[in-house]
Amino acid sequence: MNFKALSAKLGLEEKEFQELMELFVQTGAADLERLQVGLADGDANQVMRSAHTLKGASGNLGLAEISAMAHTIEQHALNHRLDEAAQAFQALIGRFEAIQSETQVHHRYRCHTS
Amino acid sequence: MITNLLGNAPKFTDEGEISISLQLDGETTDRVKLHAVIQDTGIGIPADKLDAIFEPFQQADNSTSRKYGGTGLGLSICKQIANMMGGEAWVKSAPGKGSTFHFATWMQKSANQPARLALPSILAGKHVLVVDDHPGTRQVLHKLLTGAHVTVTCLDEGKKVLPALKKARSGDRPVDICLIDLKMPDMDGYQVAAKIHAGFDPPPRLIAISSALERDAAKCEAAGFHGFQPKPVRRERLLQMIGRLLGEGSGAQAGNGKSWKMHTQYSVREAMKHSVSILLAEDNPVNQKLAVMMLGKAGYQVEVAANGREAVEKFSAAPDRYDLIFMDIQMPEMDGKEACTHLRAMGYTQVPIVAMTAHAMKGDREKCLEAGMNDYVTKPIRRERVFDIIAKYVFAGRGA
Repeated sequence: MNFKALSAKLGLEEKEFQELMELFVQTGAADLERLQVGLADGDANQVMRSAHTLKGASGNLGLAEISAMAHTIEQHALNHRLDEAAQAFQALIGRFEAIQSETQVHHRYRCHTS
Repeated sequence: MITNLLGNAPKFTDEGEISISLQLDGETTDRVKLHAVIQDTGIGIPADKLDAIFEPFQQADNSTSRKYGGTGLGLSICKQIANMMGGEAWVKSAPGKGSTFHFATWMQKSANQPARLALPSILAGKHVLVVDDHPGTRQVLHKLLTGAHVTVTCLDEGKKVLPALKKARSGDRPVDICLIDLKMPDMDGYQVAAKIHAGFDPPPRLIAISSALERDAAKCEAAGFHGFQPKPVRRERLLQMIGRLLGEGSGAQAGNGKSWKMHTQYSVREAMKHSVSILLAEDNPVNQKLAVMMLGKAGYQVEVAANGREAVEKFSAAPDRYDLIFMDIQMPEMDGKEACTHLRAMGYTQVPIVAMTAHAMKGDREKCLEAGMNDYVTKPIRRERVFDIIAKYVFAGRGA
């Protein structure tokens, strides 16, 4: 993930984008948790809402892949296909964790160099 | 009533001006007596016709109705409505001297009280020079500024400015701020500003005031203006700008965590943006932060409401403060559409409300418009689109 390019696209400094990413990683984790609980409870509405939130926030940050995955889950939940939503959820978790660790590495790197 | 009376005035006024003012004739705890005065410099009405014009199908004479049209019903209906409201409508006039229509009645006070921002404390005791050829504008600005404990000097011509500034500077009340109308017959505002810069170092801070048509930021900057206020001048805006130019934001602004940057060369273009205040209703912290960063960097002021209910509360507490509302659709407690419906039902019909949504469903746009929203942007939010929206609804709305 190219932090520099993504921040430029939003017209922000890399440092500001880093702050946003850290916030996204924090709040996104909570949204994923709600999504998972929704799947476990068979609560399509909750799945839809948490996927929707993730889709919006990631999309705004330019994280197209996460946003597309969240959109898929939202659509599945909308059509009450929770099994398919659960499968897509596994992929989303994987991608989210990758971004999470990248953000942390970035953070450490920045602290180290600055 | 007022619309009818105001609509009549231009028909009978070939030159001069038409003014409307609203006076408070009386007040109790729950009621106010409002007195509207619509004055024109038109043809006037002969004394023997003054009573007749309030009768149905009467105008001052038959030739009048041929020339000016109309059914002759408007004023009689006005009078009847006034009477039914327990009030009165009357006229004072003389041929060639113009007419003044009055309408006064008791009204119930509104439960919604617009909150006033705290005045910048730096204003007290400052000296402001107002230069405008129009007596009405001078009167309004004089009243507005003296109400903020500012010393005001009013001039009607550009050429009087330099002598007045010199006199003030040699005395004990140098002028801190000049409010200069851009369009004046003898010497326009740009010339006045240039002359001030040529004659004074450091010059007082200069704010251009102008009607909708004259709004050329580059020209204002080139002439050395430090700020710009569109007419009609709004009290909060003007006082905030003066406070800022004098080197201090108001306590209320600072308390909200909004930072007023100090500018030695405060660009007019920036000043126009800084005068724009946006209410953002959005529950997601990431989107909140992103929007605040993005809009803040572009010079706009942003306040965040975390859901629809909070947006309604914030807006109705200070409806004058915001120029635009960006409203997320899916929010907890009260969603964006419901919040919009509430605001419109409360009578806030003017403020532009723009939906922001990542909704997947078709027909959403229609639902937003039905709820009373003006426009719609889809997530992911693109900067250019957001700035276009602001330009369209805020600057265009002010008549740029």
